[in-house]
Amino acid sequence: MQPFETFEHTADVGLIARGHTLEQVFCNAAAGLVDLMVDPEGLREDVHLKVTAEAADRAGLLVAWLNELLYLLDAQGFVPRRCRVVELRDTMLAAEVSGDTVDPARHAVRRMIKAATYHGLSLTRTDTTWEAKVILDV
Amino acid sequence: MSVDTERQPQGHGSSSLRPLDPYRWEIPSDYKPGMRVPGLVYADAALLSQIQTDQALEQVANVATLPGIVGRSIAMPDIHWGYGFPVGGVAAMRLDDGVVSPGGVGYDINCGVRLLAASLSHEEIAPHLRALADRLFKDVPSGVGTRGRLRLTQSDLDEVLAHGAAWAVARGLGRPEDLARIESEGAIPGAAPDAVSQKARTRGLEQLGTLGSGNHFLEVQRVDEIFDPATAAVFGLRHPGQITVLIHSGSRGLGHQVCDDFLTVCDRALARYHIALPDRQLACVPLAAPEGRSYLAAMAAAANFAFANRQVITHWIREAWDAVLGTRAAPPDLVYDVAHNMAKIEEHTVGAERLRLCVHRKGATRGFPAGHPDVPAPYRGVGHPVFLPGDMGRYSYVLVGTSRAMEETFGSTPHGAGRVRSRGAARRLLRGVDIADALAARGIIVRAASRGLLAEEASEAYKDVADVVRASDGAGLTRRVARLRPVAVIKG
Repeated sequence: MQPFETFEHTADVGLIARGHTLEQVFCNAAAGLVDLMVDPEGLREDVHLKVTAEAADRAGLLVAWLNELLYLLDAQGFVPRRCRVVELRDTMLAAEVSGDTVDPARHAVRRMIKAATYHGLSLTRTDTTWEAKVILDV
Repeated sequence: MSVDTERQPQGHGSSSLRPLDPYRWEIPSDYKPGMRVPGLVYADAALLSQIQTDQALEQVANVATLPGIVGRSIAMPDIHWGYGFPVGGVAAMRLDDGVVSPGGVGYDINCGVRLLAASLSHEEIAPHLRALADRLFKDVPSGVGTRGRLRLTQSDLDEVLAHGAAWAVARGLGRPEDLARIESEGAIPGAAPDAVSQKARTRGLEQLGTLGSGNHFLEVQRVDEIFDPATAAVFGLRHPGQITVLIHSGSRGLGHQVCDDFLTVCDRALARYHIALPDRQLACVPLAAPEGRSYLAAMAAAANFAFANRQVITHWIREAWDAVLGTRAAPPDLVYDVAHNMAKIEEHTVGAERLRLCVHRKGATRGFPAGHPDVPAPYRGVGHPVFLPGDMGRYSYVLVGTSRAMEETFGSTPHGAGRVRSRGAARRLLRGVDIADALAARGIIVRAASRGLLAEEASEAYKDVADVVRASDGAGLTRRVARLRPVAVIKG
């Protein structure tokens, strides 16, 4: 099972995240988002944060979670390397994340992502896997 | 190969297109339930067949269902699929019973383009171009994780949000005469810093004076061809070979956060205002409702941040000019600055009535013609400039809007070349090609924060903007004035 991958979208970029648990999907989505923005190699884990997100439903929660990470990048220069979801309900999520402060001198930067959007958003389950799809505005 | 994110029948909308003339195609108002007005697509046949490959036309029809929409749901020749509203879409709503939709403005509120014109030629700048490009790349921060050079307090930020470009000029980051050469003089009235969330403010605090990334850029150019010498001269574009600078940037993280904040507000308010939508991403609220007024006030504040941003960047370009070129050349003058993601309250004639409307332009530019009172005095004889950036390997255009555009599209024009390939497809196509080297071989210097990803923004990823100009001019919405070609490109 690939934890995350991108899919084609003319103007922007589509992200698919998978996991055996919903918690895993959220963490893999974060990893996928980070991978689009900066090479995760060389990201230290010396900054530790607790991150929360809220939304009207689970799929919306995925968007809110990714947008919260984008907020932290702008507000603190923070990108997560490791993630652990400690609480997950239908309308809220709390995670402990550790990561680094982006430094173009140390890190191979890639693209900025403006936002995770609601378009084409899905969060579905097969027998053994959860799969989330979200389109990111570049 | 692209993957449809929604299972939609192919070519929907296209079989119902009614050609009105070679540049106008109507989507009849009975095409789908709920349409209040027809759709009108400006394009030639070649562009139209490209347009029909994604769901943009369906989105044009969806926009036509929005409450209070007047006239037509309009699509510019560069239209492509977007969130709810297509990119290149224009929709005007009555103020009393109409809605405002953050998706009709876009995440990057007041993403826009500014052109500067210098008084030296390509020949004169050529020996210094590498040094200038290096200096610009250093002085105008861009790319992931970069911080701006200004340290603002919350109170400074309030002033930026309220006053836009004027804040920068008052701080010595620009010339007083710059303000008249910016759309809305660089500040949208009614901006309310209080309507901007703390999260948005935090994102903006360290981003003033940064370029961004993706399709944002700073480009040193040479005038390639002048089509309308009289109008070009009014704009300060005097001869082929003259050096210009084009800036494409928006409201950065602050604007994106404002959009996201209000998409949530609108989504939650839909039921309360009994608004039924064919697409949830068209989330909107009545203009007359508190949420609608609040969005417009926050949007204006974010727009002002973007105007201030482009003004600060202009100032640093001028300082870099001074540092590298010294007394050889005066720093460049501002030609004009236009937004292409905005909702504006404007007066337009519709039928026999004069109406105040909220005009959504998402990936579309205001292009007011000669005589319009909102055109600054120096340009009122010809209309204000409109800029259509192309891609870093080809060219950009300077146009002017027409009275026909005033009559038909609420004075709106296209905004540039849309993408024709996904990022992944562009990377695969150009695998093994060093884009910066390839452009250098053609005399275009590139400085990029992420050199390996330049393929995603290469010419091959974009439509040819000349095709968009041809259709826009052909439809009578614009008149071409000049073509500009890149000589140095700075990208995040």
